[in-house]
Amino acid sequence: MIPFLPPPQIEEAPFASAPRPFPGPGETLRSPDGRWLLVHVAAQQPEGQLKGAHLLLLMDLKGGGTSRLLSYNRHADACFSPDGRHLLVTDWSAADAASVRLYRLEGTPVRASLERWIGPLQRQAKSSSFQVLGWQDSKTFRLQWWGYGGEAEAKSFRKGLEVRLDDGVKEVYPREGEAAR
Amino acid sequence: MSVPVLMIPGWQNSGPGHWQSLWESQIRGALRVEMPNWDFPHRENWVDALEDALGSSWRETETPPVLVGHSVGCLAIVHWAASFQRPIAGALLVAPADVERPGCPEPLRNFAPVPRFRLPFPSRVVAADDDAFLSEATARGLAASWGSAFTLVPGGGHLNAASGYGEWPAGEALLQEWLR
Repeated sequence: MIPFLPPPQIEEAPFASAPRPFPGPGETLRSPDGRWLLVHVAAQQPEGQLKGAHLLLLMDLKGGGTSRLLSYNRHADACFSPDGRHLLVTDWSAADAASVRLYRLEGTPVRASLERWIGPLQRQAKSSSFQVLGWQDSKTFRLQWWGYGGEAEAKSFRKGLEVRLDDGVKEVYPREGEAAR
Repeated sequence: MSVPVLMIPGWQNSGPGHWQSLWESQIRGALRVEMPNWDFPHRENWVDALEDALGSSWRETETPPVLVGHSVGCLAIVHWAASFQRPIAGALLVAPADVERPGCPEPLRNFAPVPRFRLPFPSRVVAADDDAFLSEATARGLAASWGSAFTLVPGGGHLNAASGYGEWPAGEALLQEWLR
């Protein structure tokens, strides 16, 4: 059931294009163009059940209607693109395991595949996680990619990626010569 | 005989790229304490599991082990120390989760209150100044109450794989003080 959200919360919902945690200090996030409102709801779960403990809803403040975007277990980070046409969500399944979802926001929110950009990377490693770092502009966002096991050696890795919606992906860190911690 | 090293991961376990997993595969005598339920860390069950693992380790080696905790795993060690006594060579307590903070996830709250007493074995707390789950001030306070040495890792986050701590040679060097 989609909860009722009273108007004052909508008015007070902040703008942000950097990732915002849910649950976190606020339970709503408004898109920069003012059209969309992301709402976090703590779901009622039977004791001892982690699955689906949280829910993200997306309200269309212009066209009306609310979409159930994502049910998740632990916590999520979300950020709208500066033009409000895309939404990125990191779903944290553990403190160091996460996946990313991209939504295209037009008439109704549509989940867009990230396969083109991150699929080839995922296939290079035994385990991979991705986290949204934020939007550079309305067409470009940054991800952190980390995991374990490369082509030839069993090692952990962490890289920063820049993804262009109309183009490809490139590594932005680590820079050459950066030492292990 | 090598010194046994017992890894005690935090909530939902440590993945394959986490330093605990990598050390476990690289350090002779290292093994992971398997907790009854990684998704719902129940304090008493975790403490009992740690006591069982320590009992097995002692029967096999008769050598005081080193404990290596991360996040909530550190709290399992401290709660264990409040209830049991065994010879321990040292404990490396990395990014102990602050389960007393507002907004702490519900499954972890049963680890509060965190015991504050001088641990009866050598220990070191390692923490960052930008960990979302532990402030530097709280980390320093915990270290002081446990009588632990303290190492600050600037910009280290939660000191896990997501923060870039897969291979972690600087952390392994801290562990070595008890393995020599």
